[in-house]
Amino acid sequence: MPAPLPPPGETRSREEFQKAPEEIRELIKSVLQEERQVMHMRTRPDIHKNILQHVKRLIQ
Amino acid sequence: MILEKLTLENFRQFRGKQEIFFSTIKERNVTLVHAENGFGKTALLNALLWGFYGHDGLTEDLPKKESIIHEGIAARPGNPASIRARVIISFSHDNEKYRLERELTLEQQKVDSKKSDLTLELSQDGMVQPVQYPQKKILTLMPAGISEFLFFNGEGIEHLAREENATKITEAIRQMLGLSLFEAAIEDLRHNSVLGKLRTELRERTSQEKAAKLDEQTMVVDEITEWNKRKETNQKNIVATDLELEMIGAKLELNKEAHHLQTRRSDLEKKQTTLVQDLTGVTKRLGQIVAEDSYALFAGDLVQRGRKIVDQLRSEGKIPARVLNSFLKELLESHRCICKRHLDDGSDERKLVEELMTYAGDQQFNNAVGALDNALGRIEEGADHTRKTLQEVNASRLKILDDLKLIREELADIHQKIGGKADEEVNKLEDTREKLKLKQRELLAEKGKIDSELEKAQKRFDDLRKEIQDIIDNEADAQKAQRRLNAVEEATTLLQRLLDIETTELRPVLNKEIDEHFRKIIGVGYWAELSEEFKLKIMKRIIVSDIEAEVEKSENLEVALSQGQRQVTALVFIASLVALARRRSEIPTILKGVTGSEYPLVMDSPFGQLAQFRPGVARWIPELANQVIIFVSSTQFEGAVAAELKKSKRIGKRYYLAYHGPNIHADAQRELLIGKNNVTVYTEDKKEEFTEIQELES
Repeated sequence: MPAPLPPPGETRSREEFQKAPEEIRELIKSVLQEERQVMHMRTRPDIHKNILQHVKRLIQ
Repeated sequence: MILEKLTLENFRQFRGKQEIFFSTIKERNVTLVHAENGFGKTALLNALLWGFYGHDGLTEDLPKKESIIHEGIAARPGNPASIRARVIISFSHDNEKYRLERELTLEQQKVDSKKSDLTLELSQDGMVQPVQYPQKKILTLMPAGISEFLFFNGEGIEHLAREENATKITEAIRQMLGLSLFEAAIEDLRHNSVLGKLRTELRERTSQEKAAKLDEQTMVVDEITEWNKRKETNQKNIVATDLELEMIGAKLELNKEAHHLQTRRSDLEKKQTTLVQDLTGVTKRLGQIVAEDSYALFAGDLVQRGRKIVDQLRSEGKIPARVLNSFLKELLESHRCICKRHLDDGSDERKLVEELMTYAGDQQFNNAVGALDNALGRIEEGADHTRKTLQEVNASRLKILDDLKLIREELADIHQKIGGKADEEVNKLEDTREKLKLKQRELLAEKGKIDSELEKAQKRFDDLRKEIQDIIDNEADAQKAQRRLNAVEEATTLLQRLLDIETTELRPVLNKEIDEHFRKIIGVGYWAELSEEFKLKIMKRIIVSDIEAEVEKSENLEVALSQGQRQVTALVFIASLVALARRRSEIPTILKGVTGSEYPLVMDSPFGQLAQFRPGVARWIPELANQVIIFVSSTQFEGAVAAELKKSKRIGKRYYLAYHGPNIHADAQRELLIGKNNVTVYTEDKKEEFTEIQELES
């Protein structure tokens, strides 16, 4: 059988994350998604441009 | 990721189209592929790796990497553009179904076998869609950095448990658990093309005063970047020097001239490290006592004065009060005494009570003096306690300093003795060691300086940030630019905090996971420890007799592992990591849906060097991953492994790789009983060699 799961509930990092304002949470999520797409690549030419676009889209 | 099916077509020795269905049932999650040595186990592992990563994925031990197409097929006459090898892998990942197809024509193989064609299809709600950048997508689902931990030759993985591969392990943990994603995000948010650009935009839209501060901030950021670079180099140098010193130490220990002295020196240095840590703790405790409780020691005069006041009030009969003024006031207001007499205005009885008022005491005053008296007592007691504690803590500090002095003297003495040996090799080693020790000290001093400079620059940066925010701009554009800059800075700070939390919380969980499985497999006596830098160590406890003190004490020692133990350690580490990654994908962290997932474990010959650990590995490893695929020879399988897997009923699918060809040894065993299956190991074929995949009853 697979190892048992830890007790359900929020992790400490998630609690900390939830305390942040909505726009910061959205920004972090978008940046992590963006990074996930390119994390295996040696050069990532568009990553900074894409992050800037997320910042400008989220903070009008 | 769960592998569902592998289809091979003319890949290496697998002629024609052949298939393997992997078990996807969690309770029976093991797919066994039996094969004698040289019949295609490694080729099968490589078929999966080639499918996912192309030529770059092939393992180092695969001979003739450029020959992907079955040799017999490739040699046949025909159009090279239509002769091909193909690998098709069907798999699911995060509830999505994929079908991957990689092929290489003979024409391509002749020009450059590294360039194969890959397609990837995603099935969603009955619709099949091609994925636009298939290789990119595969690398996103399963980065190449972690694939060597998921698809491996069991006999070759023991290197992971070696000291020099600690960085590789750290990197694998960070990748598989998503920590490297945080690090990349932090680095990119702080990059000049993001944060720097936002600062420039703000500068262009803002007042002169703010612009000047922004310029200064940019300079401070450059400074911080520069110091961070130096810090990184310094850290690398420290690690390299430590490693060199360890190696020199090991060489000296091996030398019979220096063996005893070096062993003693290693012990002393360990004790020295512990004592220095203790000293830091004790010094900190002393500081704490002085800061929090030492006031009591300096309050003697004040306590004396307080006592005098209380004594005086007592001698004057003011405390405790003989009668309370509030009580008399109540009697006068009610015009009635407690003895029932009337206290009418102008009456003698009333005058008597009014006279009592002149020396009656106040309740609150009484309480206040009581509290003062009590507090004075506590301060006196506190002073005694603080004095005693200070003496005790200071005594242990002095004891540590004395012990350290003795250790340093003995270390200096050992250095002299080893340096004075007639052996040239020992002299050289000791000389190099001394130089490295000096270098280590210089590096540590440099580290201190860098940390202090970084702290200073960071403080200036924080101050500037506040000053910049305090200058209010009127223009909407400037305000927007400021908000964007703030958001990126806040996001970066939060991500750093989350990374710290995740790193701190994950290490003990992973440590516990590894240790638990390690103990189950290796047995009692040893345990696994993951250091703060995620370095994996196997420890044991030994009893040391202190003859002088006539006591025995236990000490923890790092174990020098045998090849088999290293292989088990590496296996346990990988399986624990896979188990944790799977659990992590089920825990609601902010990375849920972004990273961390279930992964299969595909192991070629994992039982080779395991000897007595075989049953443990066969029993426990399948419990850790959702899917386990094992390629195994009959000699490695029969006996303990077969018994454990039979007992656990975990085998979901079973195959045999049978040989066809002309090269059959006269003594070769042609038939074999595997489980309930009678298999034909060799079939003679005069023309061509190939391997046939046969499905067996599980």
